Amino acid sequence: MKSIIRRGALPVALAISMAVVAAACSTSSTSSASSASSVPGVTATAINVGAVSTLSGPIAANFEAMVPGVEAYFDTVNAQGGVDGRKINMAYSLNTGGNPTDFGSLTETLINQDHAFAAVGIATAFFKPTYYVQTDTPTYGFNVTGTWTKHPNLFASGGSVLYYTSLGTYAAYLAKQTGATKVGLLAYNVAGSGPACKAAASILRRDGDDVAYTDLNVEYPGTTSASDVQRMQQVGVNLIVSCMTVTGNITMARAIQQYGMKTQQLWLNGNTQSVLDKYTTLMKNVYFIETHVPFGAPTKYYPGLAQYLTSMEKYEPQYVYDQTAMLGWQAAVLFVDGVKAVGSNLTQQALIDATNKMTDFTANGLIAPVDWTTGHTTAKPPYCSVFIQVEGKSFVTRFAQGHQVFVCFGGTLKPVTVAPKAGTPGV
Amino acid sequence: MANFLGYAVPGIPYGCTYALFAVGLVLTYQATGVFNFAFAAQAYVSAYLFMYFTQNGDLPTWAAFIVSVVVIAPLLGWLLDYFLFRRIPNTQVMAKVVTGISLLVGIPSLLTVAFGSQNLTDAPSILFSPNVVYFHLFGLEQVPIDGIFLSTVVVTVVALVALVILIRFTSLGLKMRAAVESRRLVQLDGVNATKVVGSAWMIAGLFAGLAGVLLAPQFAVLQSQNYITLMVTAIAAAAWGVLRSMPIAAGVAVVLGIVELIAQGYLPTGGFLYDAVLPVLPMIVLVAALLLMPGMRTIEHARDPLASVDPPTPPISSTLRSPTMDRIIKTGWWALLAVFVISMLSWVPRTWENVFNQGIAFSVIFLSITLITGMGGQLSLAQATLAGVGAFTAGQLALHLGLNLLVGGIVGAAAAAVVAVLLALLSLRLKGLGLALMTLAAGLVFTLAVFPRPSVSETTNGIALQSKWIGLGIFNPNGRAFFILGMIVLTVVTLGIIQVRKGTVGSYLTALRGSETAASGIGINPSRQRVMIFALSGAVAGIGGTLYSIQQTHVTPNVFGYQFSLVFVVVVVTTGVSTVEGAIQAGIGLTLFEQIVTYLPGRFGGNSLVFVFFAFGALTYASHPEGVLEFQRRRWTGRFDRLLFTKDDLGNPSAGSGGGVPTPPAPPTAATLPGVAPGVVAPAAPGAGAENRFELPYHG
Repeated sequence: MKSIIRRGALPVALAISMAVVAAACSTSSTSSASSASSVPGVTATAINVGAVSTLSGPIAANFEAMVPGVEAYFDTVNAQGGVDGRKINMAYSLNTGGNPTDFGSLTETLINQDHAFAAVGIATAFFKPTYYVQTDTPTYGFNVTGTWTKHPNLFASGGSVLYYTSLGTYAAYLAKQTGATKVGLLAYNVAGSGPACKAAASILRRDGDDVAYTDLNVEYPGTTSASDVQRMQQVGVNLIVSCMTVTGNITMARAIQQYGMKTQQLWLNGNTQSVLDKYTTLMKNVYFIETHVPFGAPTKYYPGLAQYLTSMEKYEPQYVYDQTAMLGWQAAVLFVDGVKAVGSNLTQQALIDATNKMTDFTANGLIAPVDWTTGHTTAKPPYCSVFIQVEGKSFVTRFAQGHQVFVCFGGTLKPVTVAPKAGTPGV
Repeated sequence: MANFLGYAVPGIPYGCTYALFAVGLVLTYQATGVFNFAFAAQAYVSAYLFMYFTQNGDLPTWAAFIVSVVVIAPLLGWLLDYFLFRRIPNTQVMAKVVTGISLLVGIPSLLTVAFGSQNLTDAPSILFSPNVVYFHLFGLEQVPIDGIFLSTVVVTVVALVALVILIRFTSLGLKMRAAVESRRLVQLDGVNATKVVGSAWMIAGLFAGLAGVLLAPQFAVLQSQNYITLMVTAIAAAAWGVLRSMPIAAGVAVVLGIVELIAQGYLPTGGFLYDAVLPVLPMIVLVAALLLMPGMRTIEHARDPLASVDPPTPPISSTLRSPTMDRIIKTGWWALLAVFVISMLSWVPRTWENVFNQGIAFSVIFLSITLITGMGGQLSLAQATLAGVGAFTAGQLALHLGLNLLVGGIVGAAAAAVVAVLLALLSLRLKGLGLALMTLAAGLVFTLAVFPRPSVSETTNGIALQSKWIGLGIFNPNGRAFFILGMIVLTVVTLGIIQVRKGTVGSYLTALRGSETAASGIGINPSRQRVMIFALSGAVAGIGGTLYSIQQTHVTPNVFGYQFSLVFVVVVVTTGVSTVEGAIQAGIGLTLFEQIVTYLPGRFGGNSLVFVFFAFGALTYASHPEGVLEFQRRRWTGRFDRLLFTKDDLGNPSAGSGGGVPTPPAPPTAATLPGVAPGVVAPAAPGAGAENRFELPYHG
């Protein structure tokens, strides 16, 4: 080959000329071929979907339960005969392995090689929407990157808009409830972490709270929090808001314990029973925010939770009390509801259109209503979440009004609660 | 004072583990002449197995420690020496570095292939519990001493004291010190130098294992990249000891660990120093050592009085083919190219279209390695970084000025060339190992401190490229427009490189590779040529980076990380670093293989299998500097040539080598060459062909 290339530019120029001609000739034939193709991934008896997730590598703990959550709901639906006589299969679960460059090629594999009907249960920090949007593939998953907005075929659990600023409202509310006077915020400079805590700091300051310490560039995935903890201790921080991963939070909690720091903690990650079982002492009294009905809520008021718990115990017992599994379940519910709404003439576009007509999706009574007619572009008030706190080896709901677990805030983002709107689970 | 101690003392365990790394590196380098880039991988293996045995195998901590550190770590060190490093002659600095880097890339991937993808978290601490505060230093609340601290400090002190006793007061230590000066002289004295060197590898392996297991509890999740980053810190410490003084290396390592934590405690968070300088402090220390320590500039100068008996670097194999065979091969390649192009533009499915498009973009980046390493004879570990400089420049210009990405790509190439020139100017007095370390440090600086800056990458996800910034349908879901663009860019770059190789610069570089002294004697300025080839290489990498980003529709910081520079070198070295087609084969081969493994079950390790494949290919660099793929290609075409076209006087297929070329005289054997151990076949005569080329093993 060396000798070929050395012979000069003429043959290469010829090759390029051939390429241009062939490209021009091939355009029409391709379009006619694609119009004749059937719906990908759909047969008379099955709907085959897939997912691209981070199932191994340093950040996998945050994402690995998503697909089991999806599969548990599919199993539940399939046990009842499926939808319109079709079983729904999680046929392709692809793993980025923590390698950011792999997401694009795995996406291509899922859509073009595996011919998945939809991507259900995407959970990765490397999500790039481009190809899903270009191919109009119905896509459901966990929005950690903030890149799910605008596009009508991208459905993130709980709505496609990541409304970071609401975290500041929740933190301000928690500060008032716990009497905390000085807030510290820790985050990594990575998608989903730094921007969330930065927005929260802004809202806290606007609300008049004393943001005494911020480190939004913590080493990721982190080896020590000793310096941060000491510095927060010195300035008197008594509420720490952590936008770090589970493992980062555990490292921080260990330092808090070792330095004898007295503080409340609000973590965005780690409210999983298996984590609590392992680090009961380190997680003592830590607060979390949930976007769904908490696992410990009374099932008589929340039948959707009862269904989730029963199915997960049956099909994926390892992940029952995992918040990411819960997000996977929600994604699967949205997908199945959409398929049911379409009926027998199932196509990808029909599914997208049907889903975007839903105005009060609650994942069978697990989350505050999402209006998918606007859910791709705006997050509408009231903003509702649930506060839970570690008590012994359990998570218990805090600040609930009677059996209503959701705490909601209005459009002003002041830490003053408003009533949940109609349709919210428990109302 | 209490606050100061509170910040400083937690740095001690970090410093101790850096010290174990640094001492291990110095020990290996001193006793064997190998700068062991694989040290981090060795540490990772022990940590991985330690955690695997405790968590999956249910072994008690002490048993897992014995198996992974006391048994496997030294054994791995010995295996690396026996099968690889002792077979590389001392003169082959590049081969030793490439072999180390291949192991650094390949070993962690091999673990994934062997044990599957799994997340190992919460490593147990040996000796003491990580969650218990045993006492407060000086009774100060700010200085709690926990189990991780105690375990690390105790084990490090014991290990270093034991090493000092071994080296100073034992017979083996005496032999090791002698072997440092000259293995051959020691051997003449009746000492089995091979065993002594093997022992040094085993001890260094033990240190790697200790460091790996001690570090594991400090990481939230075990991953090999952490060990690589820490190894650079250790290298910085070892460099201040000129890779010779263990006490200085250990001392600087501990100080570095403490200074890092003090800086973390006092620098204002959110400021430039905290966000951009602190993460790269060890790299700055390393660069300072490379620039300021005179010994680091002459690190590769042989101190062994018998060093001249080392055999020379093996010649690149070559095959002379019969004209008929040559015509067939050329025609075959053209036919293949034509079929490929027409197929890409007509029937190739989208998935494979994407694979080849990505491969074309990689090929352009890899051509920069052909320039710097194949033509320039320099090993750069910052090619992914330079590609990133080009891509981010183009992305920023498009984002803020609306500049077309194609134009921006050219500006990006210029920016990457400027960075490369700066790097070349900083490294003028360095070569071989020193240059590799300098470029590695540069890669880490950009990865940790430059690319993540909002002013560079805008968001944590990088810059999303928009169709309007390039037009021409390049972003269409069917990738044909991109294919045409990619082919044009690849062709232009390839022809440019060929012209450079054929021109004055290429001739000068060839002369410099042969003998820098002789080349200087005839008026060639080595510094000027080096800056020139760095600039060209940077520009090509920058173009490739922009092309890759266009193909990905994103400029993302983490795809231009330093670790990819290591992988790139390994991949290109496998296919052929000295030819343009080697780079193209590397680019297409990498993406092709990555796609093929998606058909395999996940338990085969996914992409890890690809890295293992290329890493093992690169391990043959010492014996096949032309690339093992290139070597095999030449070998097989030579065989076919002899079988089909080369006839002897009686009309039978010729049994001689190098088809059509008279069989050269038999090469001199070990018996006729002084200083060459039995089993060594001397370099082949010119034109002898692939079959008669220099063959390892070498028993030095």
